[in-house]
Amino acid sequence: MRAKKGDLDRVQVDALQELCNIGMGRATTALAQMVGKTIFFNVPQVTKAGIKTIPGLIGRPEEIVVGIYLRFHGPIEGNILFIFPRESALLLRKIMTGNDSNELIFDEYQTSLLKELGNILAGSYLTVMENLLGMRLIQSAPWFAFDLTGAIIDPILIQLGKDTDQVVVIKAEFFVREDEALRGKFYLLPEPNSVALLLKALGIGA
Amino acid sequence: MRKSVRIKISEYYLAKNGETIKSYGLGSCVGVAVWDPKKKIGALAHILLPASKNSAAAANSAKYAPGAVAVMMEELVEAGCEPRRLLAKMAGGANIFPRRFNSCAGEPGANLGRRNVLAARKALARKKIPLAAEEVGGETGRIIEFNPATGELRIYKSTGEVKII
Repeated sequence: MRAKKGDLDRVQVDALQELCNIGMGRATTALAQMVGKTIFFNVPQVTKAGIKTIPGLIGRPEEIVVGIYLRFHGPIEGNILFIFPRESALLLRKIMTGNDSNELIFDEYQTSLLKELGNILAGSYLTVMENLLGMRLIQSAPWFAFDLTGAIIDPILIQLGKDTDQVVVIKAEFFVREDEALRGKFYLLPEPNSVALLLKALGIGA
Repeated sequence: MRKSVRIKISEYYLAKNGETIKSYGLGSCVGVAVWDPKKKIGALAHILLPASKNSAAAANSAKYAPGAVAVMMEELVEAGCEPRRLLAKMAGGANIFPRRFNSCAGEPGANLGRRNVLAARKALARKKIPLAAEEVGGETGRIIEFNPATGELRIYKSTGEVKII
């Protein structure tokens, strides 16, 4: 494998992948308890890429999705984003509220529920990170958006893009096997300055 | 059919051969089009940030508003356009995590879009390029397509609304 200067090497990618594996295990267990279905997730992907390629990694920029965004602070800082395709957001809403309309309008109660879902998933994930890294992390309130994928990712890229052109993206997809429509994507984008610290806390030099 | 060139975040493209230029998923980002109506040559940039702490690095980068306007102008003049004939249009700068969904304070992006819009206006004013029209702010993402041959900026909002400015 070709390794450019500043790229992540195999060991670093493996460590971040494993951290995500454990975090996703905990988060999907929480989700499974909430929706009463078994949740699976794919092998996490760790990528370091230029800012302009990030929207393409998140999905089709022109697709309209539900996005739940949180930030976390502490010794390491970063962004967590959950993306639910339209059908999955409707299905989650149906499971959680009993509302089975196909209308694409989310009222305050429904957005609150979906935000809370994001809150619990991110909280479970961050608890794993706290335990494994031996540090305290504080998560922000969740924010809800229902818009183009490419537009939802903007505030995160603006946040990260101030200091760098290269961004680390840790990605995992989760889904219910018997129910294709229920699926979502998890993204963790650490602040550029936190990547080295994150690797150090995992016992790997940057 | 007219060829369409797609640009990504922090990119710009100069269309000389009648292509249209398209950018998908503008949230807080702004799309700025600059063109010469007589030559029918124009460029579109997808701008991420208002300005950089590192001004030297940002001077020619379409990632930032001043750099994007500067490089587009430079290339347009190089392509034979008259600087005082240049016009601009822009769209974007929305707040994608709007208050109607997020009652808690400090939602991300509320000012990011606005700051980008203000920076782009300023950058255009500094280069004396009149802003012919704009469709900015609001709470919806946009897909935009610029046609330098007509000067038309077509805006497809995530709500399904289509606007031409």
